[in-house]
Order: sequence, then structure tokens, then C-alpha cells
Amino acid sequence: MAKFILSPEWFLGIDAGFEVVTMAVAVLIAFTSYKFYKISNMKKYLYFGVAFAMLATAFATRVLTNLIIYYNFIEQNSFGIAQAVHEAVGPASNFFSTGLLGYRILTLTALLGLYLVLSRKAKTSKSVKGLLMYFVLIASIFSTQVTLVFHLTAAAFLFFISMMTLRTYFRNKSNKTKQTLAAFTLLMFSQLIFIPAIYIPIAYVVAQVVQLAGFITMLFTFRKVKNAKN
Amino acid sequence: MRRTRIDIINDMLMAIVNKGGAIKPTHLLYKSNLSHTLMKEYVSELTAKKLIEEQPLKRGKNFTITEKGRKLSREYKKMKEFQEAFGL
Repeated sequence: MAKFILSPEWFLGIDAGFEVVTMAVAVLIAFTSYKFYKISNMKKYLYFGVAFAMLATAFATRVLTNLIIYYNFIEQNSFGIAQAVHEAVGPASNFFSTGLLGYRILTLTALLGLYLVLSRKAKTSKSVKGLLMYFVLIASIFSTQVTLVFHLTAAAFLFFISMMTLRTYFRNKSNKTKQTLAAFTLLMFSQLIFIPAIYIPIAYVVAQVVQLAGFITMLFTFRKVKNAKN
Repeated sequence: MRRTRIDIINDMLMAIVNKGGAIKPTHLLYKSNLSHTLMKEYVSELTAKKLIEEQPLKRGKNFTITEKGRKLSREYKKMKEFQEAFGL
């Protein structure tokens, strides 16, 4: 049972709180991008919004999965009865695996979508997009056995997204772009820090904090956009 | 860089705003940098969507921007900031 929970006991529930915040930021960005799509009829805003909506759904899945597992974990520790543990592990194990797989597929698909939109490759051939989606699925499924695969794949996507944002920053020298670059870079580092979390619980805490910092930075950028005056 | 449909619409709305909220058709044609045929198409669209209104005068007419048009112009600015921030 403990193998499902990477968080130190004192951090249980706090990580879910962090992810609720990141989910809210993703929803805000998704909604705003969709609004701009309705105004402009430009597909890039739609795809961008869908990618962030998928990220929000991924975090929602993770929060729900984690909270149910944490509840089971706390119950087991409170009761300390072998039978209760045995009954809890079976269904919780399946539920956790399904939730985790769903979270990973949604996250990697969202990052793939972001990469395609930002690299202006959303119009690339269907076969290439299909192949990329196949790799995302394989990475997600394989990562249920080797967690490293998910975090490295996510970090790789975020690296390329950060590089594209850097190129955009060199072009427009905008402070808002610089903040977005900082946000994506923090998210990339958070994925790398998640890797040793299986062996070093404090790494999980640090990774969650860095991930939250990334989304908060994105929120600050979003606020500047919303407050833009004529 | 080639203007998109929304860029042209905003240029037309801003042309009206910059003229104090009302503009003659010939001035709009000049400011929007469109052919006469295209301008007529866009004016029809903007009027149908109630972003601008036609105001008859003793001689000729004016185009005036509506509150909905002003709101769209503000949203356009935010959209451009969003585009710049996220590199879209």
C-alpha cells in the first residue's frame, strides 16, 4: 500500500491542495484561450485551450485518485487491522493504477498538444501526429511499471516548449514571455525532481512546490494579460 | 505579416475610435487599408454583428462604433497580449 504514496505523511493532502491550485490555473487559461478562439476563429487558440483543459482534467484525476488512496491509508493506520488492510489494497490498487494511467495519458497528450501548437506544427500530417500520440500512449503505459519514463517524457516535452518560448522571447523581448519561459522551465525541473521521489520522499515535496511555483508564475502572466489596457 | 480577419476588424474599429467614435466611409476606407469591395463586406459583417452602426447625415452618412464594438476592441488587445505572452 505504501508504494502508492510517495508523499511523506505530514504532506498528505497538502499536495492535493497544491494540485487543486494548479488545476484552477489551467482551467482559467483554457477558458480564456477558448474565449479568444470564439472572437478570432483562429484554431491555435482552440488547440491551446484544449491542451490546458486536458492538463486541468489530468490534475483533477490525480487529486481524486490521491485523496481516495490517502483516505484508505489513513484508515488503515487508524484501525491497524490486517483484514481491513487486505480488503482496502485490492480495489484501491486497481483504482490507483487506473487513475494514475489516466493522469499520465492526459498530461503527456496535453504537453504534446502544447508542443504542436507552439511549434506551429498543429497542421503537420496526420500520420506524424498519430505516431507521436502512439509514443505518448506507450510511454504512459510503460510508465506504470517504470515511473521514470513518464517524468522524463514530460520533462522532454517541457524542455522543447521552453526552448520555443525562449526563441519567442528573443524575438519580442516581452516581460510576459519571459515569465512564461520561467513558468515552463520550473515545470520542466519539477518533472526531473519527481524522478528520485520514490527513494527520497522529500524530493516529492520539493517537486510539488516547484510545480506549484511554475503554475503560479503562469498565473501572474495571465493576470498581466487580463489587465491589459487599450 | 498578413493581417487576419480579426486584425482587419480591429483596425476598422480602432479607426472609428480614433476619430472620436464616428467616421465617414471614405476615411474608414483609407484608414482600414482595404479595397472598396472588401470594405463593404466587412462593414456589412460589422453592422450585422452590431459592432458598428450606420448614422445617416444630411449629406452622406457616418459609421459609429457601438459599446459591443468597443468591448471587442478591448478583448482584441487582451488576445494580442495573450498571444505575445504564450508565443502563439
